[in-house]
Amino acid sequence: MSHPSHPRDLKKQVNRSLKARDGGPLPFKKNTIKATRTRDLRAAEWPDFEERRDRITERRQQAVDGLKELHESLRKQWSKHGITIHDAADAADARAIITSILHQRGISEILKSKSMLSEEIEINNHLVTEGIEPLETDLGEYIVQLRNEAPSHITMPGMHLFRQDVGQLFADKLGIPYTEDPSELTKIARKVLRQRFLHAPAGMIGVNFAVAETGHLVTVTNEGNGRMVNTLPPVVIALMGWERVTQSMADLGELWQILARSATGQRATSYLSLLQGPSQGPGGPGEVHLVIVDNGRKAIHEDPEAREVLRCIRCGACLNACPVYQQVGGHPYGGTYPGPIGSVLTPLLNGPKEAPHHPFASSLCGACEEVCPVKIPLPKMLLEGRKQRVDSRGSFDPEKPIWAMFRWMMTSRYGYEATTKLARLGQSLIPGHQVPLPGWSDHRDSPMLAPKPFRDLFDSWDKEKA
Amino acid sequence: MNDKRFDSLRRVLEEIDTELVLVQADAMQGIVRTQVERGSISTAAIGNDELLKDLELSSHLLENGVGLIGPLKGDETRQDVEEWHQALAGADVGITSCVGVASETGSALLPPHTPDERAMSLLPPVHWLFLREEQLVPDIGSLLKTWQDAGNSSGSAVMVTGPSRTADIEKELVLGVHGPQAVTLFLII
Repeated sequence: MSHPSHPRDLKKQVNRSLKARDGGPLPFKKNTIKATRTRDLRAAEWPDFEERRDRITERRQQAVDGLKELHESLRKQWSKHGITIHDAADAADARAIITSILHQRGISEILKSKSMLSEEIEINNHLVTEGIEPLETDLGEYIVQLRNEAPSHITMPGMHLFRQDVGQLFADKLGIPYTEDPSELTKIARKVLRQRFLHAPAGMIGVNFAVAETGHLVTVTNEGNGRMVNTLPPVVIALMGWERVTQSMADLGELWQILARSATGQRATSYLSLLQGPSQGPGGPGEVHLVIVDNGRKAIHEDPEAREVLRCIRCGACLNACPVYQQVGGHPYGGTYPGPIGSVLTPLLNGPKEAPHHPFASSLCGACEEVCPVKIPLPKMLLEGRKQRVDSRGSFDPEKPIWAMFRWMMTSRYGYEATTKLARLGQSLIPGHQVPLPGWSDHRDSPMLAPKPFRDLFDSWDKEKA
Repeated sequence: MNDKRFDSLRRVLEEIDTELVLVQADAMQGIVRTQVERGSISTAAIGNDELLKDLELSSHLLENGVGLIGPLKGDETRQDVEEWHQALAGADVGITSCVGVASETGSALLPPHTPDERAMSLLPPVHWLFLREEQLVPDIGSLLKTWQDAGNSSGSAVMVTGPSRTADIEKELVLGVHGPQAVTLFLII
């Protein structure tokens, strides 16, 4: 997935994304508005929603603060239940670990349940180069995999597609007669994937939460593909972000419910899988490998302000509420995670130089923070990201002299009068009295300074009276 | 049978596309016959759950000419297991009991089973869930607590809320993706 490296690239990406629809209706706009409305409806069902959200936020922050200790408890539980633990310092490490597990067992195909972390570590392309076929089984992921592109949303990978796109895709890639009916298309996917599930030599699942109290690896799904790949194959690889730990079953229950309500407007998702370890008998996974990925999370944890972002439960509500995301979709952001959370997380994970435009891709309206189930202060963190980006510019920053001039102009009377006098002189020379500012002046008339400032006029009136 | 006490549960279940059937324990035989005819059931996967044994479900199914698939014995090879999975996928219904059901959401916690028993509620296109009235709890928090208090929040489990679903294409709801397409809750009152 290419990363736009400059704010101008973001504009280019956005334009490309809009042009692809020829000025027509945008799928992400319709889908995100619908998603936000259903989220609001479900939130309203809990009369004490805000109190509950506050408690969940507090518990989540406690978990994040206590991650080191919780991991100690978890490791005891995991060892007790026979889970093989692998620690991955970064994406490359994670890729090597996963490849090695599969190679050692002569496995050349792995069925994947949806995992944004697996996108973050870019495992799919790597496995292909290693002679292993990764097959996405979540319908949205299956679709974007066939299209050879990245998901454009955290929970709805095909947010950027219309049914006609999927219909054409299936007709082209699966050789079936064209249909654009979502029910028919889903039936086709069910049929195609069923045989693959039944003979899969390995499965990969994402871990939404690990429960410290019992060691359970929890996966939240709706389609049943998560259950297929954590129940049928003999080998299961579970992929977990270091921060995805919750203290107890009680906390899990709360997190799951607010995740469902925030992500898809459901009271509960169809399935909550709780995998405690490998099974003894012939059926099911005799081996469960847990790959715990750091990839910048521990560094974020060290910074008490940045640490708040580790509360994120990847619901995607902020994407759905964001007016910028609603207009441009996920792909223009570049990087794994789009939208408000992505704009904060990407520079934190990859360094401000790697994702320079992210904190600026926002109008700071605050809708994201309003819907965030764990109250991450996204606008504040975006501003902090902007500051870090500017600070990282080095010794010469073209904005510095401009701000210095502005400060002089606004804090010294002489500075103010001299600058405005100059401006008054200059504006009379501009043709049509319209200052050309790219983008801004397309829809606005330039405000003009009066030929004489009020303070001069007042002085002369005063004299007249006297 | 229509008992008003369960109207709000029925509504919640309807909202997650789950059917509620109220049954008196001694009327089990008739219910099984009706359901078998209605669903054209010729093969059923059924586990060793206590409640299912108490209700004599296996005998009732056999009486109605339904072939049964039971859990693995434990000595099967990997090849045997894949064949058994294939047979499960060809069954018409999978039958389980549960730890309990949360009335707020209609969620059923399936007890920590072996993976083959978990596969019974996953592979067949229809899932029949049996529970006694006393197993109804108000919400998910209570359901998880019930599981823990019974001293067996051990083992791998799954919480099921209705049939499998997706809205990945234009946010249009489609039921029956990889998991079951239909779920029926049989409440023994």
